[in-house]
Amino acid sequence: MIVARPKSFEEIIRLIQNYKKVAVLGCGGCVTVRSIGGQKQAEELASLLRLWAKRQGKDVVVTEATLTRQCEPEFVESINDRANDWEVVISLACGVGVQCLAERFPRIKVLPGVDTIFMGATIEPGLYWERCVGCGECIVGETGGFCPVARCAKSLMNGPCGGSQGGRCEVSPDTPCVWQLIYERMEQLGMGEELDVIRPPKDWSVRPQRMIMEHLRKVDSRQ
Amino acid sequence: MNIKIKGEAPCIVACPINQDARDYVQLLARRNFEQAFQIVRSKNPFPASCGRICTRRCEEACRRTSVDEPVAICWLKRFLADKDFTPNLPKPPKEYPETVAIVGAGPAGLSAANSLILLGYKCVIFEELQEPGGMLRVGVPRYRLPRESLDKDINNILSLGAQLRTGIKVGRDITLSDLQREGFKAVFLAVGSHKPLKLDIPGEELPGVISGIEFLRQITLGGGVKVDNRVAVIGGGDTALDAARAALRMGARDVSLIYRRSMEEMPCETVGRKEAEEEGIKFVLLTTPAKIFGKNRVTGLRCIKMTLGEPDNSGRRRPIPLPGSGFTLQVDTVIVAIGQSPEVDLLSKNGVEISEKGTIKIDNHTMSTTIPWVFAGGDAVTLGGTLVQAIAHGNQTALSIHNYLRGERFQIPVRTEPIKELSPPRVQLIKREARQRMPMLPVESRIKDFNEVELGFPEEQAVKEARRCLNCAAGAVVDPELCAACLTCVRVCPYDIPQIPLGGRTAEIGPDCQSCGVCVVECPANAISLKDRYEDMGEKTLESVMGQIPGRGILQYAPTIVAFLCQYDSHSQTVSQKLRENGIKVVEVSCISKLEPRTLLKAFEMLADAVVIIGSQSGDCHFDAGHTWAKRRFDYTALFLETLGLERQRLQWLSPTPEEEFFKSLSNFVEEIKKLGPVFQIV
Ligand SMILES: Cc1cc2nc3c(=O)[nH]c(=O)nc-3n(C[C@H](O)[C@H](O)[C@H](O)COP(=O)(O)OP(=O)(O)OC[C@H]3O[C@@H](n4cnc5c(N)ncnc54)[C@H](O)[C@@H]3O)c2cc1C
Ligand code: SF4
Ligand code: SF4
Ligand code: SF4
Ligand code: SF4
Repeated sequence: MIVARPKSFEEIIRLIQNYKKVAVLGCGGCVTVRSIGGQKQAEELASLLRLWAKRQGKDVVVTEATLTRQCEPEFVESINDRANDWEVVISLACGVGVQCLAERFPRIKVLPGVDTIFMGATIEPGLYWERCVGCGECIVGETGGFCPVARCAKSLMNGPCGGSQGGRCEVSPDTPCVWQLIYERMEQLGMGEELDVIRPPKDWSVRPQRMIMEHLRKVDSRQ
Repeated sequence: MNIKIKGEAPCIVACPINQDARDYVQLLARRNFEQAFQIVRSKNPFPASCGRICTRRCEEACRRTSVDEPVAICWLKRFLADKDFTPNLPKPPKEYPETVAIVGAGPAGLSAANSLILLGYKCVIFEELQEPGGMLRVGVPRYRLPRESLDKDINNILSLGAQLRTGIKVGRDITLSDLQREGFKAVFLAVGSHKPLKLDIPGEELPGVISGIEFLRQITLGGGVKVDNRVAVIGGGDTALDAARAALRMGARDVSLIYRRSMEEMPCETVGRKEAEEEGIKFVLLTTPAKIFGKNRVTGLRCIKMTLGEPDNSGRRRPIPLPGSGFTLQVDTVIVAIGQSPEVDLLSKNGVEISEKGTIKIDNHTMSTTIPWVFAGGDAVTLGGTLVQAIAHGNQTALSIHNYLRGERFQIPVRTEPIKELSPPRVQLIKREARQRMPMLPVESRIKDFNEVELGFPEEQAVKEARRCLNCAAGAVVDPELCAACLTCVRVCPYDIPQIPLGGRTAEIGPDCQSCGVCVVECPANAISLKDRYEDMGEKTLESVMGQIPGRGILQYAPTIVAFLCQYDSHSQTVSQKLRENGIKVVEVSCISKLEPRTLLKAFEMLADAVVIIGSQSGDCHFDAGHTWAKRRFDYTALFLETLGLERQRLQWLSPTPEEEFFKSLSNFVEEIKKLGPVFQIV
């Protein structure tokens, strides 16, 4: 799931300080699951903004709402009517959600309220860790189920590097060296030899990625 | 709403009148006494009496029993009834032309009158005795049910407008056909069960032998009954026990209760039995009387020892005489209290059909006798009936009479199933909190007169007792439309209640929820709420207290301070008073774990200059984990204030103990806030 963290309040108020009609929009997807951008957090931020405005003696109307998911056009459409009342929207969704709003409402200034940091898993309640970068060509089948692109500080395709110390990565003693993990697991699976093959560099050239699922596309009934 | 909780709290289901025990207990815990009382009174016209002598089926069923002991539901009802609130009953939606005759002003008859009037009918109650109350007046002694309490219940019923005609025995002074001729469209026979059963042993006719109910009745009505030194009471039910305890209070020195089975099989109430033992009643068990001796008066009682054989059809083991075990007790008075049956001869002459057991024959659902316009209930149809059963029959009959008169079919009410018992691992997670003990008159003084033995809970004890209730089947609920299956609730619940079932897409919260509110606050999707309609998590209370903020002048600045206070804390009353004295707005919540950061922020939005949370010392909490969660939200909210550039001191956490320290910190805090000045520079 996508993991984001709240932007600092200073940054948010810097971006909205000249506006009078502000909306805070939560997203019912990933950011709700992480307690970062759900209905509760939208209410809290809205409340803070009102307090801030009142203290500044500013006359600002702050509303809040939460969309089921901000990355789906139908759900974005659901705020169509209310959007006329807003000059600026602070989206608490990931970068995807923010952009969907921006594209749909060209007249409104859409701002991110969170920094999207990674795709990751819950290791334990309250601790999330990056596991995937969406590279477009998954190789974990060859690396014992561990992704070196996401989890190696240098994204090495043929690791480890000399910074692997006692199973830890040199960037932080809290970070296991993923190549160490890869070797251990591959040995355990009896596939150690496979690691002797040198993997070619990845093709990073095609961005943005795009995917089409033909069977899900719209059918034009007029045809 | 996804109300996954199927079934109801067992206390409610077990009660013959389905009294909403949980709801009034929960309200009492929040000190909302008046509303709690009105809930009681809405189904129970005898709150003061029931709160004292009810057989407490609710407590037998109470789920708290698996943790420690049942909630003292009955005594809590008494606490509410003793507050003397005026019942606030709904006016009848419609007035009907018919008048109903009720025969017998015991609890069954009076309850029927209460319900019939609320339904829109007129009633006339015919009572043989000079005063209403039935066995509650002439049976149950005053040391268990004082007359003032009984009179309060009865007056509240009669003040609704039922007409009472005393000194009239239906069947003798007026027949059923007379009633019909006089224009009564339906009759309810609630004549109780007043004919004592006999032992059928030699000597029973001797002076000095009296039946239990006759003995008790004479004590009440002043029939000049006397007892001598040594009294033997025969029987094991409430009447026997009461007769024995009353005999003691009438001056007997030595009172023995003779019962043919063992203590375990005794049908009387355990509470009463313990009290009787304390008072010095001797229990002569596994014994049956064979003969009463005496010339002009009783002098002795011949008894035989018994042993217990196979269970009989009542399920209790059958007593069998032990050959050669006879012995004689020297006694001056023998009170026979082995049961009573309804007096039905006159009624049967009036055409009412009687069952083999000697009770009036009825249809169990409609309560109607074999005569369609005649209904019957209470002890007249149940041998060994109870007060609450009589009330239930009264309520039920009123509905049935309404259906009969309006030509509607009687709907059998659907009974909800009780929720299951707490699972053993969960029992371990719930804090033990001992049941409050009832303050009682000391034994030495209570056996001298008929003063009430149980003194009733003082307020603090009642509130504390009410807080033991687990709020069964009324906890948190998840709105599946909002739930994002984030697992937060599953992870934070201190009692392991919420679950996302395998393959499920939304969280589900089962009936074991303890209503601590932790998950309600933590759910990022705002998908969880407490089903309990009396719980507002502090939000509505905040709005109402902040509504009263006076306009603020520039010259005289007094800060607005809001205190969120844990009601569970035993010091909450003193604290709350102190806060109000200091001009602080008080929002009481049942556990500060129910405070949302957004509620704290809202206080500031509503122009608070400072917020203080007053939580008990951890360990003194009803919800132990609640303290930790509340602290976390406090810190979380403090960060918010920081980002706003507000002084950290504007959000404070104070502990109410030790008291002196609390008062000192509080006044320091108030001074500090005065110095800081207002949050908003608005006039
Ligand atoms: C000593 C004793 C202790 C008890 N203790 C408890 C206890 O602790 N808890 C509990 O729940 N229950 C207890 N009970 C039982 C309880 O009192 C009865 O179940 C209850 O009172 C039954 O109510 P009722 O209205 O059916 O009958 P009753 O209360 O008997 O009322 C019937 C009324 O009808 C009148 N009446 C009879 N015939 C006629 C007629 N022909 N015309 C006009 N009026 C008539 C009678 O005078 C009486 O007033 C006790 C009973 C006794 C005797
Ligand atoms: S907008 Fe972003 S955060 Fe919201 S559901 Fe889509 S991917 Fe997840
Ligand atoms: S704990 Fe409360 S709700 Fe549950 S059975 Fe007991 S009194 Fe009723
Ligand atoms: S915390 Fe709320 S959103 Fe998350 S699983 Fe529970 S009910 Fe659903
Ligand atoms: S956290 Fe509290 S309110 Fe939520 S399910 Fe558990 S016991 Fe119930």
